[in-house]
Amino acid sequence: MSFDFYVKADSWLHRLDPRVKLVLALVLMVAAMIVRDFWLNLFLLVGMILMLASAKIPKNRFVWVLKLTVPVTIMIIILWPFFYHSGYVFFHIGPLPITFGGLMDGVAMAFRIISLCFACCSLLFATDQSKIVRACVKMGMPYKYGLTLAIALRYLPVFFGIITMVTEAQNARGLDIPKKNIMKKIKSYMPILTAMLIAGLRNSDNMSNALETRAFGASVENRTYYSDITMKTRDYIAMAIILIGMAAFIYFFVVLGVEVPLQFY
Amino acid sequence: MSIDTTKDPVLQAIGLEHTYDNGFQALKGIDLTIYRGDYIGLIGQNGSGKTTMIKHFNGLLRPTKGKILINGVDEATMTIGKISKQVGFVFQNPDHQIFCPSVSEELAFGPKNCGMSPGEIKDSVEDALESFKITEYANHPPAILGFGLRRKVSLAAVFSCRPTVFIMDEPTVGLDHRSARELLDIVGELNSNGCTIILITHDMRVICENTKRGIVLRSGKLILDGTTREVMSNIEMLEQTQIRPPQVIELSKELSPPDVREFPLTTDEFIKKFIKAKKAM
Ligand SMILES: Nc1ncnc2c1ncn2[C@@H]1O[C@H](COP(=O)(O)OP(=O)(O)O)[C@@H](O)[C@H]1O
Ligand SMILES: [Mg+2]
Repeated sequence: MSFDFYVKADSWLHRLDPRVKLVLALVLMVAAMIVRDFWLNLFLLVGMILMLASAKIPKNRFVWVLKLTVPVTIMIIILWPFFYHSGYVFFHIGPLPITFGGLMDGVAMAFRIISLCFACCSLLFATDQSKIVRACVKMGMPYKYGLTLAIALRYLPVFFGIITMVTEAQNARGLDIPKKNIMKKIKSYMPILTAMLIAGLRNSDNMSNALETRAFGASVENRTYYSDITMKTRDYIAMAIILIGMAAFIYFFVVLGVEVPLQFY
Repeated sequence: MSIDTTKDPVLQAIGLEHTYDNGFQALKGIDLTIYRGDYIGLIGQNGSGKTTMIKHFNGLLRPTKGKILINGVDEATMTIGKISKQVGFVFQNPDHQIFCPSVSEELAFGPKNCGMSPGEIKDSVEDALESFKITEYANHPPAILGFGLRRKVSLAAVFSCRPTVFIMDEPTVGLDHRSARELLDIVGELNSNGCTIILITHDMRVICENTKRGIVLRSGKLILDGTTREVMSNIEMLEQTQIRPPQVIELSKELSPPDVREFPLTTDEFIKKFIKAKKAM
């Protein structure tokens, strides 16, 4: 897997202004956090997957996200019923009752985590990274930080490439990473991490020189950009829909505190 | 003259194929035997599979088909730690392996992993420092040395494992002429002391002036294998892989009768053959 999140494609989501997508991602994340109910969380998750699928995001990306979240979700599903109890009692482990409600709540929690990931992905998969940065700067982030963010994103794939090469270089000197013993494993990563750090520092030094030779930091009043972003009518409409949806959502589930009738525990 | 096949084979690739995870077949069946004491120049365009092939020789990659024998033993049975005792591999970028506070500790890392005793480690570190002429920097932090010295440290740090085969990926890139010359002299010396050398480089002059045997890869296939002179004199074949031999060879070809198949590799040889011969006439 290469570490570039962006999937180049032409879809309704790709065409939206990055600012709209940023807001969309935030709204989806907030929604996933507010809701705490098996069915609603499932609904949100399926909704997001359908949304991304309609935006021509290929299957392997979904698999990738799911794989990434599997360890956490399994842990939650196993541990949650120990701490939360309601409804039908399956059995007791020591003094702790393991309940149907607890299990369902755990699963809902797991859905929540996966939803959070997919919410981020709706932004990352469908937006060129440089456009995300442009959006942040347009919304008031100082250019300096914007550039820092851009460089960080730009260097993620490079960074992972270097990890591979450094690991291979140290392996070639006989470094075997032991599989079993955790302490030994951590220790055996030291040569890799240190070499990474040194290579990284050297890189950043070169980078800052390269930036300065291209007039970074020159106090230009209104700098221009090679690829600028502009909000079009469809972006305003999308933004309106997102905000209205968000407002309705908050009104129902926070202000009114509507209980979902579908609950079966 | 052709390759001396009477010596022990140290590395053998038998029907070696490699297909990467993404389905790309980088090696398409390679049969190759490398003998003790060989000094090989490995040539091929970018993407021809040089690095992929070399990574099989030290176990970083495993064949998807075929096999590799190291000193007659199937590599599949060995861990990378064990392989690195016999096959040393220096990567292109020295900064990808330097991590110790001093040069001598850097050189000791490999031997330690290989399980040498403290006495052996000390000996082989001193030996490597001396071979690469960096004894005076033994206590310097390697990370802040100049590029040429870091390159030497990275070579010495692999050599200190006392490998029988020593593989270098583009060791002269980024070095000025003098440092490159110095490094190649050191490598040449290692070779005359019995170490088998494989050198990857795009510099045909380096190949002509240093190596004894040439191997050319093109899109995952071995298309030429012979003495450096045989390979470098095969101008037509080299041209197909976008490789241009040094100008002395092209010039010699123009000056020679059409049936001559082997040409001088260096300027010195050229002078001996064409200019001195003429004067003597
Ligand atoms: N990890 C990889 N995954 C997929 N393809 C690869 C990988 N590494 C190399 N390749 C491909 O294999 C071919 C041979 O690469 P390589 O052995 O690095 O060539 P060389 O070292 O001769 O430049 C290239 O076409 C390259 O794109
Ligand atoms: Mg290569």
